[in-house]
Amino acid sequence: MTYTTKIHNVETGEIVEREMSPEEIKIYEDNNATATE
Amino acid sequence: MPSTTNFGWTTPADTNYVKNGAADMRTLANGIDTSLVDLKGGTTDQVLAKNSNTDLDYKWTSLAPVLISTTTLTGTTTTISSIPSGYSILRVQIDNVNPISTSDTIRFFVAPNNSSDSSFTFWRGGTETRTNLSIIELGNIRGSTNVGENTFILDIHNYDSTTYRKPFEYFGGDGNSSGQIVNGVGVYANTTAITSLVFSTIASTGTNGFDSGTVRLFGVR
Repeated sequence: MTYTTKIHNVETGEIVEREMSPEEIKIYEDNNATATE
Repeated sequence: MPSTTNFGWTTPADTNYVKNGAADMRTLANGIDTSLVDLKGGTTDQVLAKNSNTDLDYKWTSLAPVLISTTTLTGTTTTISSIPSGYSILRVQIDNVNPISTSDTIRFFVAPNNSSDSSFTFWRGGTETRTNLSIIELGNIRGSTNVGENTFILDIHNYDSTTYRKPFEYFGGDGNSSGQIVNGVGVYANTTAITSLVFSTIASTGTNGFDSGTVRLFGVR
């Protein structure tokens, strides 16, 4: 499964859309795990 | 040359020649003009505030919330980064969130600083306390009927403090037939300043993430 993320830097206005890194996916999945009721 | 008591504007001496009156008036007027230059300008509904501790140093400013940014939600997650400091409250206004999944009910989250340190405690709907979470659950959105008919507001206090914890409050809901309205209060029990927000979903079926939606950040003074 492909996880994508969009990052909007509001200081520079730069917007980047890319696949999530393994570290970002881990945080995302950890957060989902803590949120699961 | 004599000068006025409070502002030090130059005035002619009693012994000055009358023929020099025009130049003397120009000197006085130019002094006043220079001193009060900060009072010029401003726009409708702005108020005058001190710009520094220096005498007569003023600036025109607005007391209304300041729009910091507008971001469209897409992807599995959307991150708003490099959020500026300098306001007492960070207001997050979220509208018309359209998820990828077509589930009836999709849980909608935001994670300040994308932390996994489980610092959040919040109380919502008058019935439920959630503790040791890494993300704030803003409420439910729908992917099948009434898609995108939702709105949420999240106010985070002390968001830029490196000394204090961050209390927050939120409310909103989805305009579906069952009327899912949510409100809650909580605390981010961390003294780290909040500089980013990460939005995500958990769908019971289908793919997590967003097709669209608008997030506006406001700074409240």
